[in-house]
Amino acid sequence: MRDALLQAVLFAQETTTTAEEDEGSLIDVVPGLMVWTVVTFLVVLWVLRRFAFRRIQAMIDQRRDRIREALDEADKARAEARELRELVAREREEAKADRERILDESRRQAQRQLDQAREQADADLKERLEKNREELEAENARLREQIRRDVVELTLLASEKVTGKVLDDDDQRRLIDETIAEVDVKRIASEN
Amino acid sequence: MSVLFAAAESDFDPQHEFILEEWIPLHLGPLDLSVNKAVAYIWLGGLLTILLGIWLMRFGLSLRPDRRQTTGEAIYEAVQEQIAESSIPSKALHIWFPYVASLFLFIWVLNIVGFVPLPISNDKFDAFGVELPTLGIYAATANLSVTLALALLTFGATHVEGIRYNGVVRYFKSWIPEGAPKPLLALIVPLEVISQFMRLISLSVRLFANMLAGHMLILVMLGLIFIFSAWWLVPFSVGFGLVIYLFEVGIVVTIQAFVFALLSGIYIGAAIEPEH
Repeated sequence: MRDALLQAVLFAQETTTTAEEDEGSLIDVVPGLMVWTVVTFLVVLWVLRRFAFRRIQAMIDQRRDRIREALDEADKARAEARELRELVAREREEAKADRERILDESRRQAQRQLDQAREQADADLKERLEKNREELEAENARLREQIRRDVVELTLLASEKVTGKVLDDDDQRRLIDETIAEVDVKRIASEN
Repeated sequence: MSVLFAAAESDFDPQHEFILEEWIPLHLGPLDLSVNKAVAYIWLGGLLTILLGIWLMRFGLSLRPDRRQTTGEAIYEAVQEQIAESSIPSKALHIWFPYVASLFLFIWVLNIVGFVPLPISNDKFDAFGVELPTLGIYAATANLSVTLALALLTFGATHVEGIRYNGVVRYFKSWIPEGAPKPLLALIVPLEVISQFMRLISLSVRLFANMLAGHMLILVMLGLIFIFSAWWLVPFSVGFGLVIYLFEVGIVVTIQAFVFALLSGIYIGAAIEPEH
């Protein structure tokens, strides 16, 4: 261990001395080497610029363009989808409004038809009632006329039998008029 | 590894890995362009950067990316957003984004390659009568000349763009803070000029020192075993060396490349639009 440490000290001294002696070799500037460095670097620069950088830059630009186009297309598609969505929503709203309108219209129409039917039924009923009433009145009138005629005939017959003579036209008319005036036809009709 | 072999021969020196021996002599007048280990690593790094960039960012690209393309795009966009767009004005982005992106990738690959044991070494070993280079780790970015050259590029680009976008007078006037008292100009102007050059030094030395320190620590840790011939040191040396290695590969390599590229972008961007 001691020997090793001693050797290390000696080596350090030797290396320092050698480094000092050869210091010039490490930091010497060699023009020829500088020329070779510059020439080689310029060749590298020329080749890379011409054969590598341009190609990869073109490829990157091309991809950027493609990505930009794809993004534009995506934006366009998104806008179209939004428009479509808005259109569908608008159409749905319109359809809903149409449905409501049609339903209202149908309801109104049904109500109207119902009202019409009701009115028609009422009118029919009224008409029928009126007709019945008219028929009844006509029948009444006919019956009254019949009764009157019967009464007149009976009266004439009774008068002829009581008086024992045949009545002329003036007597008959006068007798009829008097009888009619005395007879309450309505009461008779109602009693019948 | 070559250090370890050297250490075994009791002449261990961590700096040994950073000595640049001339492999292929090449002289252009006074300029020494000889190929050495650093140049080989620079070339290898450049080649790998190109291959990596093209593999990740060119072939088989499609609109639906696979894992490879996703990685390429992630790196590209990270550099674009985190480095370029945050530092360079948009009007100059098309010119300077490729620069900072290449800078980041180049430095990152050089740093990573620096931690891969490769048979690019000054030392050889004999294997059944055949001399083979020993495996070694070496980072080109642990050499000041390399980082200084890259920093100088940024330095030059900064001032060229500053003058190009603003004109000479307006650009240099932008160095002086608005409303500075005239008597203080004699002090402020030299300080501003010095600060411009300090950027150059800070940019290059930061990367160089970080990479050098990481390599030195790892080499020293492993070398201690052979220097002391004490096997009880193995768990400590290897363990600590491994921790440093993982720290360097996992964090330092990327951070240093990122910082160098980001600061380059900031300097250039600030020169183009001094008001920001």
